Amino acid sequence: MHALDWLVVLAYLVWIVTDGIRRTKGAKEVDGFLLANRSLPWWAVGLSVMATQLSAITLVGTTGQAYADGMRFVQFYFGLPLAMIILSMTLVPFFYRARVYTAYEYLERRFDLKTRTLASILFLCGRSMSTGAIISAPAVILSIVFHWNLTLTILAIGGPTILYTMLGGVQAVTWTDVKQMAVVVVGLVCAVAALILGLPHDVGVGQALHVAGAAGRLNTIDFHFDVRQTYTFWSGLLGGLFLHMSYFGCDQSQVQRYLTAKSLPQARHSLLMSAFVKIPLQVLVLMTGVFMFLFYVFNRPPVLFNAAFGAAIERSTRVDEYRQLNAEFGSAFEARRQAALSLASADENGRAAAREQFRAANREVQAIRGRVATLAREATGAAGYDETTGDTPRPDVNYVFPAFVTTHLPPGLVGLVIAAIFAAAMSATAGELSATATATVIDIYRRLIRPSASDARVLLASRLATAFWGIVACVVAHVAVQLGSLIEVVNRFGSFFYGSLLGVFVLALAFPRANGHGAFAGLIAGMVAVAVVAFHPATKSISFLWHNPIGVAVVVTVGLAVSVATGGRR
Amino acid sequence: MTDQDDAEEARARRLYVGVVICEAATITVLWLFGRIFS
Repeated sequence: MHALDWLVVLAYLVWIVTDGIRRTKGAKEVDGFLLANRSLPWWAVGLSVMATQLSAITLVGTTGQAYADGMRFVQFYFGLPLAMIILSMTLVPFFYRARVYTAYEYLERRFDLKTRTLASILFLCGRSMSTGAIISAPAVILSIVFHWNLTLTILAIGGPTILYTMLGGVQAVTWTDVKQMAVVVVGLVCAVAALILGLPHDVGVGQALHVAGAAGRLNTIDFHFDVRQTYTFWSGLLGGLFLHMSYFGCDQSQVQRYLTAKSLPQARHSLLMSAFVKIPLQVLVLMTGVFMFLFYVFNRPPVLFNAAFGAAIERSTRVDEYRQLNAEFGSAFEARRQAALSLASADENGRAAAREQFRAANREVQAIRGRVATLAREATGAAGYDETTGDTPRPDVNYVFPAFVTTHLPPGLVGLVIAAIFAAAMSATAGELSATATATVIDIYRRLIRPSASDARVLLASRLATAFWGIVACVVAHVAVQLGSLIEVVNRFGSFFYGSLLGVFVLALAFPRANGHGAFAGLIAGMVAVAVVAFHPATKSISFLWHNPIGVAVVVTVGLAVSVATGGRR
Repeated sequence: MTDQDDAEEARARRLYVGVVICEAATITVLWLFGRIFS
């Protein structure tokens, strides 16, 4: 990496950490540390809401997803604006007026202590693991691409984040989120600009988009109803509606964001900002991937984007076969490039024939990639090369964007994009650390262990809890690399909990007869039901987006039945 | 409910309608985009 890139990354880290630490003066008591004294403007909270949701996995994985599979991933977010409207009308005013610190605190007021404690513990278990994954994913990719030490990369992301979150609390999290969102958007816009400038001079953006369309990269909306498909209009709109209602309404990492707003209307506006901006922002991220596909139609890509596997095959006994395939790939790429140039310059009459010619050439390129993937699996034992995302081997998808950045961007811009990856990882991590610390201190420490603790002691406990969960996240990030599929199981466990928790809040708000026994039994039954649906051979093909409505339905049904059986609410 | 609350509620309702219109427009544009270039 060029010295200028190091300078940009270092400047970003210094800027963010000093800005975060500067907020310490506003975090001298519990309300300031955990809720920013309910003083923040809607636009800062709104940007923080989006920054917490947008992790480096989104930045690197989603651009790779669009490169391999096109724009259809955007349908995942179609339920989000509607979820924001429903939450702004229901849970947001409820939480804000109840003056709670955590979403789960409300469950005790409405039901009982055991329901609150179970919900809070489930949140802490799920979130501590997923925060590890948020740090681990970019750290692994950056360490492979730049040959950095993995432990040091994890510490470079986790260390500064723990420091400013521990000292500055939720104010530091929010104001650094604002700056980190700016870094992410500027990084993406620069990457898109570089990708467009990398197209041949005689190919305009409109002409290039015809090439992307011919490869299926612009098939954005799929109106077919199929519960096995994750990315369709209906699964995004209905399944996504429940998922986003659960995430923004019941997950402390988001609830805490809008509880810091200076008034209820400002809290609503912060959520509605996401409703307006999230889909266009996601389109920008996905278009980066589509332009990356176009860039590599006209500029030769590596046959394997994950260089670690390419190097492993080079060291194996199958090296001659690999080099032969590499040569065939070069010829197929050149044929596709010529077909793409013909398609780009074709007029209305000749476009259909040129499109078919390009598709045939593209299939040939993908066929050779498939043979290389098989070789990679056989030579290295990497099972992931059995699977594809769109037409790209799955282990390659997350490396497309970093490979482009390191090989095609000028010095300075490489540093900016790496800073954007750091910013996305750090903003999501900081939000999670602040939320897990709040749940630990408010729902466990102050409620169960030291109810009479002084404000100063609760503040100290909050700082220590932030540091504790930060260290846990770094340790999980480190072992996640070895755990592999186990971490996926843990994350799936978190998704079982989402729909069920939303179900408990639906019970609380919509069914006055529901009681604590019903809510507690419903929460457990909902999680078990979703686990059964997720793992049973007959139902496991159902997309995870539908798990949330299933969880809500089971919690409400079981919760009401148990409530009636135990005498209802008195 | 005070007059200020009423005004806030009315403003929130206008924003909700705006969100729905924006989402419908965005989905339509994305669909047309796919149709034109595919």
